[in-house]
Amino acid sequence: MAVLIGLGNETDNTALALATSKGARIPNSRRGELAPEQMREAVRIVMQNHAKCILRSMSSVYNCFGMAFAGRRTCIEPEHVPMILQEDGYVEVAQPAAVMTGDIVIYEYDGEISHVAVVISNTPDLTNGRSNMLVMSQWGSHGEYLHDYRDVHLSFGRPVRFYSERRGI
Amino acid sequence: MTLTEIMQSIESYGFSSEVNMASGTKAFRRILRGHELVHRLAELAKQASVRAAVAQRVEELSALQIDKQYENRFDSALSAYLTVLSDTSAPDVVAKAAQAAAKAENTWWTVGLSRELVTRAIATGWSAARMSHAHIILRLASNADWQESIQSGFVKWMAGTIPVTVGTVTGAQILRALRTAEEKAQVPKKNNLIVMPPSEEGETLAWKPGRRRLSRHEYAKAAAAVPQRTRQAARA
Repeated sequence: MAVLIGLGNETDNTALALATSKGARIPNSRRGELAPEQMREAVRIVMQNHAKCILRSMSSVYNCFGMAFAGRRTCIEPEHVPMILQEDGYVEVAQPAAVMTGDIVIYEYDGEISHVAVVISNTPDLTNGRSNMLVMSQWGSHGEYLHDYRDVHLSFGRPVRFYSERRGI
Repeated sequence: MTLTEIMQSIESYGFSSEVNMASGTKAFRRILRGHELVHRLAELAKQASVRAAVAQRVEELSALQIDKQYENRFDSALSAYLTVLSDTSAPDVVAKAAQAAAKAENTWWTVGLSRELVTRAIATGWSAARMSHAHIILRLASNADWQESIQSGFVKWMAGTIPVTVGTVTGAQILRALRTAEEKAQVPKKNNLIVMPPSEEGETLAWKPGRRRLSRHEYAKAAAAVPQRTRQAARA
């Protein structure tokens, strides 16, 4: 059952006036900060299971989509991502080797968008023909991490597509 | 694990950290429902005494004073308890618990879940959720004109003097009031659609204001066109 009058609408006082480059409103809602001890426990759990991740920032105000599409200011539900990609003129980058710094990686779980990360660097791994892609993303409400694009929490699913807002490609 | 141990674990930072890894509402609920502690609690909640204890705990946690500069540390626990109750308890118990949880301060996941459960209570006419109706609707009524409209439309319904379903006159008044409210306050100008957040099942409802009401024959025809699986999911 849907919520009739939901979070993130214009009348939600936790929402920002956020729009795509073409002017369509992006529903969003700002989350509160977790208490410091709660955040520390969250970071400990992340680092315990993903030892190679590097913690960049500890905030729970935004989620991964808010980090990528709203300047770390608010949370955006994954259902709105296809609209944002289209309205903001993102194009899919078919080959991982063609992905550049600033492009984004979309993850899916069970066929649905579940996570997004921003590419920091992408270098070829000549030993196995794959890409060594370092990305940055917000993990739920547990802070922002630098990590290999394949090294993510199980609930994020797996990386499925790359997009870029670069013009002229 | 005993009930006490399960509930202590659900109220721990560890549990909160695990389920708060979610990037969105659907993912949160998926993780929550898949969590072993929630499974164990749901199993125990087959006993009435456990359901009563969980409902009681929802009321206790919801009333706790919190540090308002941070998110409610029991947000995930409240959502877990509401999820278990919604799966195992009678609608009046669920509505009462959701009503209590809706009052908990600084929650993130619980506020959406409790609204959803209260809305469900509205649709099914459980009078125990009367105050929740008022709480949810009037809290959102920031514009005086449509607040008035809602109040006039809801007065009989909130009085609880008659059983309410969406098929009754009062139900029609509710829908009319909602339509009025949403036409004035909730309709994105761009496409003139009221878009409601997706539910746990992935359903997204869109309601075009001013659309003509279907006749009984037209409704039956439209309902027949909906795949059986979708209707079963909607009923569930």
